[in-house]
Amino acid sequence: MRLREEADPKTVAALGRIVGKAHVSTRKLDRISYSHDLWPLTLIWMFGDEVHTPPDVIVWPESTEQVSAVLRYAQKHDHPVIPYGAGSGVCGGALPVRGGIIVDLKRMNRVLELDKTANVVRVQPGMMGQDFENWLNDRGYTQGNFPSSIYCSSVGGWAATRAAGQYSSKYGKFEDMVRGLEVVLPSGEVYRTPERAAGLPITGINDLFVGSEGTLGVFTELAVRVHPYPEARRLRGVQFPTMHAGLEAMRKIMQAGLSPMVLRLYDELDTYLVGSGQGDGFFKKLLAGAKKHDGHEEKRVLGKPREHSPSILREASRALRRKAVGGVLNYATLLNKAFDLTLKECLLVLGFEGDPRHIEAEEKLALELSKEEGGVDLGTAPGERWLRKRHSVSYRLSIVYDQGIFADTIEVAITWDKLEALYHAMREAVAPEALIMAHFSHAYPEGCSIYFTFAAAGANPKTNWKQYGLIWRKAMDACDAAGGTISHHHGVGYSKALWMDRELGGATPLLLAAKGALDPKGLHNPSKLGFDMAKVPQWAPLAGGRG
Amino acid sequence: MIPAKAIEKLRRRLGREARVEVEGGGEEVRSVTVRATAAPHLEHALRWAQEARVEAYLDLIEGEVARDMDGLFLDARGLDRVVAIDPTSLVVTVEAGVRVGALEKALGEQGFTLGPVPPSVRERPLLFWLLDRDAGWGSGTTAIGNGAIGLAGLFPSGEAFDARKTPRSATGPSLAKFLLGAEGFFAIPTSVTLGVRRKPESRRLGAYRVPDAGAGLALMREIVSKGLKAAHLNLLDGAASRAFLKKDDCVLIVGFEGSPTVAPVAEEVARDLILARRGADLGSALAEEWIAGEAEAVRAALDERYTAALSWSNAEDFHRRVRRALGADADALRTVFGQAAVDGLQAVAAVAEGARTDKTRAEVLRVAEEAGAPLLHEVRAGHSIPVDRAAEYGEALGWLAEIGERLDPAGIYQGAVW
Repeated sequence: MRLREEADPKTVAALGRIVGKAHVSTRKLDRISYSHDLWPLTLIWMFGDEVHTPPDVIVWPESTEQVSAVLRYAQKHDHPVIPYGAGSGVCGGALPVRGGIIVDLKRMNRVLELDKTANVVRVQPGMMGQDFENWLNDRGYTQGNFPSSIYCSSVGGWAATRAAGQYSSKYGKFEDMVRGLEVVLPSGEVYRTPERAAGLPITGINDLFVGSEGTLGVFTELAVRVHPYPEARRLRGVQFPTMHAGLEAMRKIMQAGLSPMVLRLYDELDTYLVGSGQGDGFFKKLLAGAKKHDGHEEKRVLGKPREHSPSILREASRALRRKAVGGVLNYATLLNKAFDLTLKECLLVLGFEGDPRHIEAEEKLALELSKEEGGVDLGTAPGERWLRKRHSVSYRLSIVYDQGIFADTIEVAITWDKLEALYHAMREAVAPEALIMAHFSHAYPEGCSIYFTFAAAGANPKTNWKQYGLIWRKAMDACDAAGGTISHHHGVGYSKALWMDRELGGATPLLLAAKGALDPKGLHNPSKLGFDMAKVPQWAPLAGGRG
Repeated sequence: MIPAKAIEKLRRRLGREARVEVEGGGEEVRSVTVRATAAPHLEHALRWAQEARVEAYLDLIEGEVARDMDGLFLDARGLDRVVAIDPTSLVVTVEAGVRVGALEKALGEQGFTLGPVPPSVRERPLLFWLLDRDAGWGSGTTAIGNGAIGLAGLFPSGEAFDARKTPRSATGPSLAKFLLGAEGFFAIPTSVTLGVRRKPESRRLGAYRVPDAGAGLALMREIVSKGLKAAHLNLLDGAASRAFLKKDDCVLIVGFEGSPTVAPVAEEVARDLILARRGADLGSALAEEWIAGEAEAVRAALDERYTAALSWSNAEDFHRRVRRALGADADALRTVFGQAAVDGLQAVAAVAEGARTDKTRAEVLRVAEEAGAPLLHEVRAGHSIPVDRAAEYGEALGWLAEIGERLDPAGIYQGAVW
C-alpha cells in the first residue's frame, strides 16, 4: 500500500520542538490509523485494502499552550489541521482529506476541577466518555450524556459534533450541557467563551463553536454542567399494537412534561430482533455471530469457538455465511415487505431516574398514557435488559463487515406532526437497496429523532462504496424532501456535507462568514460541514453516489 | 442625509403595502422609517440601504432607537401574524413583530401557553423578547430564544434565510442560537417557531419563610439538583419580601404545574425538603399573591434594575457583598433570585422607586465584577442599557465584528441594540 508523501523533516522537527519529539509521528502505521475514523465507508476501504486520506503527520500535545503553538505553526506554513478526539465519528468528520497535521488530544485527558456546589466540572477534551462518567460517579455525580460510543468517544468530540446520549430526553444533548469552552482559534489565539447557566439568556458564542466539528478551532477545555447521581431508577417495557400507537404514547409522555431518562420505541422489525434476540439486537440476529462467554464476547463459527476450528473450516464457514446472508440481503425489497406484512407489535423502553417518589409518579403517569394508546405493561425486565445491553450493538460493526456485508446508521429528526411521514419516506427510499429498520429515541415535547439501521450485501468489497453512497443519497434526499434534519447527533462531517446548503435554508452565508473571519485560509478540518466542497477529491463516494 | 430621489426609489420598491415615513424634507431627508408588514418589505429596505449606503437600524420599540440619528429605521411590529399553531407538535410559528401578550392570548384561545411570560415583555413585540437579554424574574421558564426550534430572518445584505424546523439537530453550529444570542447584530429575525405548552391541569404552590438568603439559595439548588422541574421558583430577599409581600423574612416561592398525578408529588418532595431545612410554611395564598402581583411588582421595578448571572458557588457571596457595599441603603435594593437551573441562576436587583443613585449602580457593577457574576441586563430610567460587551466578549469582539462585516457588504446595519 502506497501512501502519499509524509510531512517533510523540517516540519516534523519544528512540531517536535513544540510537543516533544516523542509526541510527533510520521510512522506509516500511525498515518494509516489516523487516515480514518469510524465512518463505515472507511471500513469498506479497509476491507478493500485502500487508504485514501492519510495525514502528513500526527502530534499529541499536552497543553493549551502546545495546541496554540502547533496552530500558529500550521497557520504560518499553510498546513491543514485536523483536531482528533477518539476517532469515533461515523460521518468522516476526522478524515484528513487534504492531508495535514492531526492534532490528537488524547494526552489532554484530565478533569481539572469539580465544583460540587456549582454542579460544574472542568474537563479536558481528550478524556474518554466512560472515564469521565466513572470519575464523576466516584464523586457522586453524573454528566448525563450516554452515547452508545461512550467507551470510544471523547468529551471534546461530543461537543464538536453536538452529540447526544441515550438519556437525552432527561438531560438534553451534550450541547445543552456545555456552559463554556476554552478554544484555540486557528490563529493560535486562546479564547474563553462567556459561561452561562442553563436557564439564562445565551450569548451565542458557545453555540458558534459547539457543533463546529473542528472547523473553527480546537477545544482545549470544557465547562460542563453535571448532576448529583440519581437516587433511584425505574425501567419498564411496554408493548404496543402498532408503531403509530407507540409514537402517540411517546409524544403524550413528553408533552405531559415528564422527563424520562430513556424513551425508546423500536419499529416492528427492530422489536422482533431485539425481543427475540433477548436484547442483543440486530447484528447478532443477522449473523448469529457472538456469544457471551466468561464475561467476554467471543466470536463463534458454526457453533464452535473460533480457536478450535481449523482455519480452512473457518474460512469455508465464513464464505458460506457470507453467501447465505449476502444472498438474503440481495432481496432487500422482498425482505422489507415480508417483515412489514408479518410484524406488527412494537416495544417501548421507558425509564426514569431521580427522586424515588417523584419518578414513581412520573412512571405511573407514563404507563397511564401508554395504556390509553393500547400499551401493555411488560414489567421491568425489558427495560433492565436494555440497560445491560445498551452499548453492545455499536461494537459489532467490524464483525459484520468481515462477513462481506456493510451496514450503517442514519439519525434524523423532525417535529411530531411529520415524524411518521419521514419514517416511511426514508424507509421507502432505502428499502430497494438494503434491509432497513429503526427505533425512535431522543424524544422532546416538539418532536423526536429516528435512528435507522440498514444492512446490505455488496458483490465486491472494492465497489461496495458505490452502493453505500447510493443508499445514503436516497436516504438524505428523502429526509430533505420530508423536511427532516439530516442529523440529530452524529454530525455532518464529510458524509452529509452535500446536503448542508439545503439544511441551512439560506443561512449558509453566516457559516461562511464565521469561517472566513476565524479561518480565512480554510485550513481547519477542510471539506467538512460543507466547506470547500469544490475541493472534494474524486474518490469521494458521495460523488459516485450522485450518479 | 438621504437624497429625496433615493427615497422615491425605496417607495417604488416597497409598493403600497409598507408605509414609508420621512423626517425632514426638500432635496434631502434626515431619516426614513419603513413600517413593514411583511418580511419582503424589510428585505427590499435592506437591499436599498446597501445600495444607497444608508445606515439602517432595527426599531424594536417606538422611541427606543435614538431619533437624533440619520438613517433608515426598520419597524417590524407590523409583522404580527400567528402563522400556524401545530397542536400535534406543540409549536407555534409566528412573525417576530407580534406582541407577546397578543400571542399568549391567541395561544390561550386554543388551550396553549408560552409558559410564564415575564411581565416586562408582555406589551413588547416578540422580537424584543427574542433579542433582549431579559429573561424576566419569573421562573420555571428560560430565555425565550433558547426554546426556538426554527428561525427565519434577513441578513443585513437583504438575503433571507429560513432554517429547518427541528426539535434538535447536529448540523454544524446552532446558527439560530448564535443569531439570537448576538441580539440582532448579524440578522433580523422575521419569524420564529417556538415550543408551547398545554395549559396546566393542576398547579400546586407553596411559600416558605427561610432563615436567610443563603439557606434559601441552598434550597433552590437542592430542588433543581433533584431534577424537580418547578414552574415557579423564586427567592425574595428580606428587602424584596418587605416591598412585595409585606413580610420581614426571606421567602421562597415554589410551584409545580402539570398533571395531577405528578405535580402534587413534586410539590410534596420539595416541601419535605424545605421543612427539613428549617423552612416554615407560610401557606399557598402568599405564593398565589406573589404570582398574581408579580406584574405589579415588576412594574414598580421597571425603572432601574440589574440582572446578574450567578453560579451556585457565588450567589450568596454576590448578595452579601452588594448589601454590605450599600450599607444603610441596602434595603433600597430588592433582590429576587430566579431562573434556577442545575448549574446556576440569576439575581434581579431592583432599586426602590426614588432611591436611584449613581452610587448604587457603581456598587452593583463593582460587586458583580468582583464576585464573578456577569451583568446580563440593565434597565435605567425604564430603558435597556447595553451591557459592557468589551468586558463580556473580550477579544472576540474583533472577529465578531468581522463576521458582521462579511454579512453586511456596505457596512450599513447597526443592529438592534449593539
